[in-house]
Amino acid sequence: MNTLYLPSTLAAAGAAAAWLSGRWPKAATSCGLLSVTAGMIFGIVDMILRTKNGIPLTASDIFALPVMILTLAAAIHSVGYLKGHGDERSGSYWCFFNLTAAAMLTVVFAGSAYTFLLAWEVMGAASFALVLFDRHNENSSRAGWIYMIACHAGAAFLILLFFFPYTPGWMFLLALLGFGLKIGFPLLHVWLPEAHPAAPAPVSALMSGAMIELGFYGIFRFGIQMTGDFALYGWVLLGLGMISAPAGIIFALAQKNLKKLLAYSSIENMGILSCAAGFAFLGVAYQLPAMTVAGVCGFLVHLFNHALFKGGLFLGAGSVYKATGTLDMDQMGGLLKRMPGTGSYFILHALGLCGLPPFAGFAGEFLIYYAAFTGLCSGYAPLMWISLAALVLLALTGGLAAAAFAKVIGTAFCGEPRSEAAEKAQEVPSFMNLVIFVLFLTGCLMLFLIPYGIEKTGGYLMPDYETQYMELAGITASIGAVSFIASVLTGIFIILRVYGCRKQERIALTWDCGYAKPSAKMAYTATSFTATMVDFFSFLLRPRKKVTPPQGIFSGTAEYDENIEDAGLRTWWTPVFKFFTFTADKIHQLQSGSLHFYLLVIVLTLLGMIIFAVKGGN
Amino acid sequence: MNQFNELLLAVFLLSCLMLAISSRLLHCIRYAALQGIVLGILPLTLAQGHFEGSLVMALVNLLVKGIGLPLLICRAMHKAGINRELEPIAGYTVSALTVMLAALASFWFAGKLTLPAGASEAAGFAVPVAFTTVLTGLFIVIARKKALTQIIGFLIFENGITLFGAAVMREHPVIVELGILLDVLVLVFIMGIAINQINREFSHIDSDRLNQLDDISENTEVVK
Amino acid sequence: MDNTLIRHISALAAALFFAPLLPGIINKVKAFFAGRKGPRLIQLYFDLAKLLKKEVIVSRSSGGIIRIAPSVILAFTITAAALLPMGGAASPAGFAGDALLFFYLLGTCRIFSVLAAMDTASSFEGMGSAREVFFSALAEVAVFTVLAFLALSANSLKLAQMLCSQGVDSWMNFTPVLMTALAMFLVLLAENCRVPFDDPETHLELTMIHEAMILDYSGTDLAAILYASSLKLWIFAAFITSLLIPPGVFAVWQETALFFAGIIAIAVLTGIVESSMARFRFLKVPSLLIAAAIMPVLALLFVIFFLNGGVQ
Repeated sequence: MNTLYLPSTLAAAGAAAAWLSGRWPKAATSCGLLSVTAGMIFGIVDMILRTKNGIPLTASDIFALPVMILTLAAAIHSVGYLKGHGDERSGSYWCFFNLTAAAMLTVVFAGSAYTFLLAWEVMGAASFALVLFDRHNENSSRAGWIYMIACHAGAAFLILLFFFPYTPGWMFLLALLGFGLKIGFPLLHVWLPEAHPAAPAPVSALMSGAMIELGFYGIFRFGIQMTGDFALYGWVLLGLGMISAPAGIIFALAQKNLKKLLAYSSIENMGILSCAAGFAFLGVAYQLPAMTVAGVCGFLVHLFNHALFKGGLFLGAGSVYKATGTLDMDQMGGLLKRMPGTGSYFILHALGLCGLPPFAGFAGEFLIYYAAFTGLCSGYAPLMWISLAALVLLALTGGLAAAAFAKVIGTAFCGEPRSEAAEKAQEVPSFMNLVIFVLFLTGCLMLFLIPYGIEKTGGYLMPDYETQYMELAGITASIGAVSFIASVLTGIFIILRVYGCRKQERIALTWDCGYAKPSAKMAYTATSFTATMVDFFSFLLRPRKKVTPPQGIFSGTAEYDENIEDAGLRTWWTPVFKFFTFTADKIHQLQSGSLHFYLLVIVLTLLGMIIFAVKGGN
Repeated sequence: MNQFNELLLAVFLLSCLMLAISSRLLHCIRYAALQGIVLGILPLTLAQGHFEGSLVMALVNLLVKGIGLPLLICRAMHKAGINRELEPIAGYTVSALTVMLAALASFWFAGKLTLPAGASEAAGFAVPVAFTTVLTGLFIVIARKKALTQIIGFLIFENGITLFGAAVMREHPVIVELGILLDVLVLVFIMGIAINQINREFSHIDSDRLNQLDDISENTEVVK
Repeated sequence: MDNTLIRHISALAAALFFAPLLPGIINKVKAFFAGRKGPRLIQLYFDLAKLLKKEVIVSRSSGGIIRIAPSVILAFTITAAALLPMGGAASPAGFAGDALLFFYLLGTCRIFSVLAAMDTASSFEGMGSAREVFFSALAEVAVFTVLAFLALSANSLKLAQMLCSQGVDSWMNFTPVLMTALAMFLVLLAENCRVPFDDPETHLELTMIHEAMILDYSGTDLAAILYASSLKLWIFAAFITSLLIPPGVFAVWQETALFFAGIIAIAVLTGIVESSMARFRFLKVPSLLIAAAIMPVLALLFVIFFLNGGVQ
């Protein structure tokens, strides 16, 4: 038997075992956890062994690796997360969790289109069940249905794609629609910010970190034909990315629900990935090997970074939810002090995801910028200007991503608690933090593995471009070196500071310009932190504000609240669904309940068919 | 000399950009004056033959556009006691981006034009800058509410045309240019007087409110 | 050891040593315009020496970020300085793309200062941070258009070539380079909390950005922050100066002298701007930053128009 399928088989077996032992939650947990961890560890070890033996990794392996690492971490985190959050239903949780994991791996390693489609559907259905898992969350059923609709609409396009031979252009379009629904391209993204916050945190981690990225795998495998027009592929992917990266992060900025913010940030990151893929294809079309190579490497590196860092962030959000019982950042604050482990790992992951040096996230963003600069300097007229626009939009995205995560960290983890729940937050069990930290370490290890990986993989992925790969490997190595120096320097300064200020440090009240009793009520909340930016981008966000300004000298109550509806939902889906509801209502009038009317309809139909048959016969 | 021309043209272009983002009337007037002064120098450095004609043009431009008209507008502003804050219809960020797009379009378009034989390289640069200025002037007229900003917009528009003339025309028909200039002068005078009068009658000069003069419903209601 | 390396290291050492002079120069210029005598040129050195001796007070609300932020900011600013070509000498650590790393290192500094400010639960510091993240996101756009111009005209992403090859054929490029330098000067003012974006002098906390974020530092920590911000000012001034000095025209000693003179000139210019302008309203700041981002694009148009006789 092929070892490739062993991890997914193990996980699927675990799913069955967990379902059968559902009556005994502990047994179900051990069955599910053991089988899925064993499967993933086996998969990872197998991959390492294969590389060691000189068998090159395939594209499937590269997509599978983050899935396996993330599943491993999410599974272990789930054990802690479920405690007190529905552990009596562990059986069904582990069944669907393992099934999702198995399906994701099968998707990646599927040998035929049928297997692929089957696994893809199982993946959607199993994760749908997981989205519905959290019964206390009133949004979860709505989110679940939106997710279900998205999954099935996507599958419909995929069936069209697989079973009808079309020209490459049509295949690309169908793949874009079918897989784009998973990735969350503009307008197809509406399920993401609904479903991800509703699912249990480890599942959101899995969905956001690994599942949506598989959409790209699907596009590359089934949507792209070697005979197709690479320039078209490139322009479309680049254009979609240029819309969804800035728009995603602008919406993320305005959220106050922690997981919703992370979900929008996933849309942004998928946009960045899409830009990278676009540059890679354009590089082929314009015969700019340096751009292709930078695009491909940027895509892969960012794929890894996003999987690990975003996965870690969702797991961290899960720990926060477990400790405080809320996801509203306005109700948090001061969590770093109360949950030092969760807080510091969350911060590290956030900085990594923003693409800030010295963490690995920078390398991915760097490579994508590098591709854009190559396009800028290429001298081809449209490519040059579009690259410039992409560069500007990516820069804006980067800056706003930093702002969004500054908001999360600043208002949720820093400062003073703004609610009783945050005040009483307790640190979660240390193993939950440990997996998040391990994810982070794996992500950062990437910074040193990337040059090596680029050098090794580049050679046989695209042997013609070896010089470009070597060049990029050198550059990323330099980035690693400079980042390392900066970190060492930081370490030295911190040691000096700790040593030098040992005796002279005093803990005191925040000065705050002399206010004797600063309270958390005076500090900035998540909403006020981004209020200016929300106003600046109001053309896109259209915030609905509820303002009760303070009145008089001794003002009693004042209130400010903003509500932001998704732009895709507002401008497109709501009107579309309203139209369908309206039409359906009209058609519904046919069902009058009168037998005579029904007979009339039947007779008319018959007549119509006769006429059609006669006409067709001629 | 080419370097110097290019620098002056850059000043011209940047003043368009700054016009788009300035929120004070006085600043707008200053940028218009700056353009006038540059226009006072450019005909000399761009000149091809007919130096005397250029000299006259330059002097007149400098005096009228660089000093005279801005002073007049300033006077009108003070006399009518107009609030120095602009009332933009399109926001400043959008305005800045519009000017950038205008510049992109102008440079693209100017590349397609064939200049008359013998036109200098700097003249080639002046053409797109002139187009951008014309478009900026039009944009200001469209996207700002105050009547006074519309005069400024018109002035900018006219600056663009003068620049275009200075760059492209080989024999300067001084009389034509002087005629145009006179038109503008008279226009500014009339607008100044009109603004004063309107101000005395209505105490506001939003050109936006002029749309109440249409024939449709609201107007009649107002009359009732 | 080759010559460039020695030159770069000595220039870096000079930067590290003389950076605190720049705020002194700016203050002197401002005092001159205000008709005052003003503090000494080397006042910041005295301040730093005094602060290093004082005790550190840490906010009770802090979760610990405020303790490590000064070290991070200092270390990353110094690393960024080491990447920049100084006095015409390329950095030994330079590589193709170091320009991006350079600005991202400064970005890390910024986010740490924001997080440390939020860590104190102070209302004013929250206000400063909220503004800082917004304006810096827009400033980043300006930075990237500047980089785009430089990359295109030098056909390289290496700071040493981007900044130091704008010469020779580029006397021809003089005007576009000047426009880019102007945009970069606006970024300098924005990033270093100078008028018209921010007012470093004010004592009204409501109007501050950067100064509001450092209200709760004291002792050694404050010293590190003040030193790092003077170094950041030096870095930006050095960036603009290197951009404006054409290479290959002057002898090495002349180039070095010009480099330092340029940095001083930029400090003086900053002082003049601060003396002659008022701070903008906050709602006005984004449009100025957008204008700064557009300037290099216009410059790019000039260059392309010049090269091709048209823009496709």
